[in-house]
Amino acid sequence: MSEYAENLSSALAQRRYERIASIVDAAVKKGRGEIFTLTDMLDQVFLNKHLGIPIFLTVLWTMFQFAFAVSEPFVVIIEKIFEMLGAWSGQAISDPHLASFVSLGIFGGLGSVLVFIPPIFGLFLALSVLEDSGYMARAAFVMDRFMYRLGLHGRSFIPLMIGFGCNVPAIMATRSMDSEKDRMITMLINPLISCSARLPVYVLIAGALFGAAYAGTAIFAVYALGIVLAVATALIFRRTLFRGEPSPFVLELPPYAVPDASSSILHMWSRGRMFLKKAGTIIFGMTIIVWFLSTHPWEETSGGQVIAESYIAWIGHAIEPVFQPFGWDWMAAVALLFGLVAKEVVVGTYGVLLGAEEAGLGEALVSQELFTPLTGFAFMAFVLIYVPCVATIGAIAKETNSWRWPAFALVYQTALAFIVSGVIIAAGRLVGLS
Amino acid sequence: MDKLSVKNGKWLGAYAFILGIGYCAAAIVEAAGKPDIFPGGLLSIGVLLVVSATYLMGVKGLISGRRDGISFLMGGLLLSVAVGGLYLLMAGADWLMYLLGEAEDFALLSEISPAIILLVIALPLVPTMRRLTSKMAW
Repeated sequence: MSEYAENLSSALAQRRYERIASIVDAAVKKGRGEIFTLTDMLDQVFLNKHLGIPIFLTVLWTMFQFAFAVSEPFVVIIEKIFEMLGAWSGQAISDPHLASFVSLGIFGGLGSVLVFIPPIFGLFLALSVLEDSGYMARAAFVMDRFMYRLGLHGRSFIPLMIGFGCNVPAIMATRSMDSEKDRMITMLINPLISCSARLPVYVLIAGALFGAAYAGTAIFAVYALGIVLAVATALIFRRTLFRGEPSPFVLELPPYAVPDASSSILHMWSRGRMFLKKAGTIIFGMTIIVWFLSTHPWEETSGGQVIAESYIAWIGHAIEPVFQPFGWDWMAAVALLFGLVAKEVVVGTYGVLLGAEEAGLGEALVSQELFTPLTGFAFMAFVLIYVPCVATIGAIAKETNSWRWPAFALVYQTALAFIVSGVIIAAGRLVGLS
Repeated sequence: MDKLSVKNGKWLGAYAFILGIGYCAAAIVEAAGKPDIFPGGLLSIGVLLVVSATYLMGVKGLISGRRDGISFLMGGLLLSVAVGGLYLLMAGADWLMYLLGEAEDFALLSEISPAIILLVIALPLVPTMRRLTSKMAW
């Protein structure tokens, strides 16, 4: 039935565009191929068959460097504010239970997530500028040729780009796709596109292990890995679960425009506030749970001083063997477990477990030798791939009107995470990395 | 759009050629200066080569007095502004880190990367490009 509907809609689209072509032929008098507008001139370069994709990659690299390298001092400023608040709460609150709750639970956990506001807002600002300038539609167009070869639909590109912000609206954006098969593929691979929730984890790990000079590139590499995996998975799905050719791609390219500062900032804010809202609700709640589990039983942990005796250590040690081959300890196991709710919680969990303020979180990771660059990169890859967050699972369930597909996404992504991280570790060790 | 004269085109073509070679040389220097070019340097080198290719693809058109040459020059200029601007912002961020006490020193000279120098070299093209495209609509 769905195949019949697809054929019908393709036939209707074809007839519609044939009619448009005949009207255009009759009504439009073509010039001598001269370039008339600035948009035509720029399209000659940005849609060039040789330069189009390299320029797109250049734009992406510039965007990520802007978001991460330029935002660094602003991260430090927020770190210093939370440092002061932590010190103040330690001195001002006499009750040790409450002092622990405020300094570790609130300032330690929530604070360690809020420091990622500058890079996240920076990324959203860059995305807004690209959208407002009209370049994003060109990016979709440039990538269509490439994506078609890989069994993806050109229209898939927009939801995939939205996925860099958040996978939930990205999955909802697949509604614009006519073909059910194209839509299903786009929905199922979307969680492999690195959303902003995973960014705090990358910034923490890459910043600590790769240094400022290479952190942006390490993060770019994880983003690129997500794209490569998404494309490869789409190709596999196209040849197995959803056989057939992608439907034709028609896209109207808007003229270029100089982005308006106020509207770009407004777009940035409307996306960024989702992160702030999540930080104030889900992440806050989770950090409180993590604080409770890491400081209780209160007596056995000597008031949260000996985390090894806490409930969370017990949970961590129980699941640690699963992650031991990757070189990750029980803290990583716990962080990944709580990250199922929202990926930012991975950082919040480390904040509470290491008892470090945001400024010292990266240093604590290094000084306690929790990761090497190799195991750290594999951890970043695992966070990228494993189980989509609960909101994304819910969105897939809602859009497919079934729990079968979210369950499938959950299983295949977890398996893929283990395989890819394992390959990274094995390949790294093969070339002599530890 | 103002007419692109052959004389003007040759002058602009030479300028685009110098910039293209400049970016290519910067990429080679960066590659030579970094024995461990994976993973960080590789991408920044790639970016410099893309800007170089954009300028160089416009040279032939500009020398022949064709408008498509201007398109590539304009595209190259936009990329120069984006990449050079990024390095300028990164230098500003390093300065702020120094002011915040997170960096031990701040040496202005070491912050001036080839991308910033090439942006400065490319900037005189802006008035010419504005003149050539002033009557064009978006």
